[in-house]
Parts: sequence; structure tokens; C-alpha cells
Amino acid sequence: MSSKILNLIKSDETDTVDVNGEKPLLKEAINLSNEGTREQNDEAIIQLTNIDISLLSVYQINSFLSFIYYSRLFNDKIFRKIDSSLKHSFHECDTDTITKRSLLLRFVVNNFSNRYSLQEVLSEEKIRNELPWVWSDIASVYNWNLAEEEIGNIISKGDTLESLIIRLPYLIKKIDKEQLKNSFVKWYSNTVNKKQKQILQKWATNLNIKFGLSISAEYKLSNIPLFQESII
Amino acid sequence: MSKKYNKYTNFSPCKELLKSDYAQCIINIIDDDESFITEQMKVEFFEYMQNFKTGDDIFEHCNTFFNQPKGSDFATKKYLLKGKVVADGIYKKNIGRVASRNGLRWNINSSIIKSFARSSAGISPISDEADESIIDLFSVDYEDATDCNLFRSFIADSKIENFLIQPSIMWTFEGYYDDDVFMGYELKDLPCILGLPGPDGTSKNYENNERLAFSIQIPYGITVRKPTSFDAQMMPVWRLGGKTKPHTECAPKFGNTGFDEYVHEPVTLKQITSQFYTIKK
Repeated sequence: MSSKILNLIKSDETDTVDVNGEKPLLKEAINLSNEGTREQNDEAIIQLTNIDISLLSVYQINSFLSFIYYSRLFNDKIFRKIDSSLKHSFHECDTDTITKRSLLLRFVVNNFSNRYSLQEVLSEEKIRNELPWVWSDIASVYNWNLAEEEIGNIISKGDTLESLIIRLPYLIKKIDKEQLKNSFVKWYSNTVNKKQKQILQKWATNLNIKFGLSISAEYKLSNIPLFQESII
Repeated sequence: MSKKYNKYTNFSPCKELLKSDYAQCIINIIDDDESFITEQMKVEFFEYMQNFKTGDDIFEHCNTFFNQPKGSDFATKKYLLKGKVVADGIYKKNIGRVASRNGLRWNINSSIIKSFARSSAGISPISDEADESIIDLFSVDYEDATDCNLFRSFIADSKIENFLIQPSIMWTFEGYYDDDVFMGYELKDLPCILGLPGPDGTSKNYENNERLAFSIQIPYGITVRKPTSFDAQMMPVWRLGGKTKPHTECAPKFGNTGFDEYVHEPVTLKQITSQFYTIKK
């Protein structure tokens, strides 16, 4: 069956944009979300559920999920389609397959609440080992402490924190300010180099997070940089 | 319109285009100042058009014509960025840019993808929801503007500041004031003053696109030019003359000529000098 959406997914990797700089796939999805009739939405769901996800490349899976996200077609048929793919495919151990699985899983737990148990997610060891940031995204939906701990582990391995910074706009929206403050304090204790410390301090200031007294319990005063002494 | 190119414009499908909403694109090309868009370049365009059977075919393939050689850098493009060079004073000014919200979101996302290419297999390392949050965090109403230090920290610390704002040539404009290009008018009027296109490239539904405005400072080394009809390509809302062409709705208020407009190679994210201002309908 010829599918307009599948064609859009396949061509999404090119830099082609319309006169307003918009990508055709995204534009189609947003049009459906804003102005799509029931018939158009039903047709889109049929097209989406007819796509064999196991045949898509990593980039195409990304585009497939973006289409669903921006068209807001979060219905049971779509869930079952992805769920079935996760159950029957994407079990190999190569990086491509793990990446595909992680994208699908992150999408499902973000957009279809309570469909998978925490236990099921915790068993995704391959994702945790290969793509710890994505695993932390998934874990954060269930339990922020789990995600916070995972990010702490990543920091303790000397991560350069770009992956944390690009997630901050989302975390600011999703996580309670007090929780985020506590996480910053914990993450600071996980830092293993000066650069990491500087970035965490800078973003604590940017976000108006004061580390406060809680940090003094974990550090000797002599180890606390001037920035923190001034706010303790 | 000059009759010099009648032998081309009498050919179908050019005739077909001249009867459509895109007639102005052909008129723009024919009437463009020949010291910049030479007769030879025009002839090449019209001869290219002869390869196609319908106006739709031409429309679909014109992008290929204007962007050749394919994949080359802007300095070696055959037809783009050939207009008059703008005086050096432009480099000291904050000039304006209006982008579709989704286009800008995608462009920032592309920078993230490139920056994280090694660790994320060429896809965005964050979810679409997280991706949307980036533009949300840094967009404000113009009335609530502060500075863009948070955005600057964000692009520096996520290591995307040296990536281009967009892959294609940038269209920018100069407002009434050098310091603040958005002062002196209401931001909601901006798409109309600039004569921005609607979804199909014409003026229809031009106000339906969700857009953001921001300012940039162009670094020395990037040549700023007045646009030509070849930069505008198949954009019927564009007019010759170096100024934006307001839509009829706001022409009574702002006149028939809007702001000085420029084209240049895209600049990097670190050249952004303001927050992203939401343009309300």
C-alpha cells in the first residue's frame, strides 16, 4: 500500500524544507494535529500501523516517532503497534538495534503512561549499559531518584555534561525545583573534575538554585569554592 | 515586464506559471537588475525550464536549478548570493530575523544532532518533548525581554554554539533602530511588514504560521547582500527593490515598502543577540 507518511519518513533525513524553513514531515504532522479531521487522523493511523518498524533505520524510527508525537496520535492502536515491535523485534545486541529499542521504549513510556511496569524498564540492561542518558530519560518517567542516580553515575565517570545541559530545559519543566536542587547537590558530589564542578555551579546560579547548607555536610569547608561559601 | 524573454515565456509550461499564483516569480526574474542577475543567467534559467512539461514540474525542480552546484559551499553557488554588497556599517548593527517556530526548533535540533553525532548515531539524543522544551524555555514575549545570557550559556555548555542557525541562506532585515530592531512597531505586525509567505509560499494565510523573532549580529567575513530574484526563487510575495513588501493588510499603516532586507550565508547560533520573541497573531 502506498503510504504518504512512509514516504515522508523516508525523505526526512534530507535537509529539504519548505518556504518557511519547515520540514515536510513535521509540517504534515502538525497540520494533522491542528486541523486534521477524524477521517484524516484515522487514515494516518492506518498508514502508521501498516509500517513495518523492524525495517526502518535508526533515523527513520526517529522520524516515525516524531510524526506520532507532533500529530498527537497517541491512541491504543499506535501503542499496540510499537509494543508488538518491542516484544517481537529489536532484541539483538548491536548498537543500531539497541538504539532503535531505546528510542521506541522512551517514546512509549513518555507518551503512553502506565503501560510498562518499572520492573520491565529496569530489565533493559543493554540500554542502560550502552545508552545511559536515554536510560535515565526512561527511568525519570517512573522515579526521578533512579534517573538522578544514573546521571550521578555518568558524572562520576567524568562525563563532559553536554548531555545534561541539553536536557535541562526539559527537566526544568518536568521536575519540581526543590528536587532539581537536591539533584544538583548530589551530582556535585559525583563530579570528578574541575570542569564538571564549574558547569554545575554555573547552571545552579543560572537556575537560581542555591546549593545552601546541604552541600556543606558533604564537603570540608576548605574544599568549597568561593561561589558556595558566599551562599552558605 | 520586458518583452526580451518572450520566446521563453511563450513556451508552455512557462505560460502556465504566468497564469498561476507564481506569475510574480517569473516577472521578478525578468525585471531584475541585470548588473547582478545577468542576461546569461536568466537565459540559463529559462532554458532549464524548457526541460519540463508543466508548471508544477518546474516548481518542483527549480530548487535544483537555483542551488547548483549541489552540495557546494555558498561561495561557489552559481546563482545564489550574487546581489549588491551592503556597506560595512551593517556589521555593527543588531539585525532581525523571523523564523517559523518549528523550523527553528528543527534547526537547533540539527545542531544538537551534529554535535552529538558520535554518541547518538546521527539522531537527536533527546526526545521530541525535551526538544520542544528548548524553544519553550528561551521564548518570551517581547514585553518581557531580559537578556539572552541563559541561552548563551546553554549553547556554549551544550557545545552547539558554533553550529549554523540554519543550513540555507538567511534573510534578515533592518528595523528603525540599530540597537533594537524590534522597537518602533508592534511585533504582531512584523510578518505583515516583512511580507512573509503562508504555507504555500503565497500571501495566503501568511499569519497562520507560528513564528519567532530574534536579532543577530553578523560577523565580519560574512558578506551581506541585497537579495536578487534568484535568492527569492519561487517566492511570489517577494518584490525587487531591496525592501520588504508589506502585505495589503498592513500597507495602510506601514506603506508599500517595509524594511531594508538582506541575504547572507547562515551565521552560527552564537551570533544570536536576543531572546526568541513570540509573534502573536
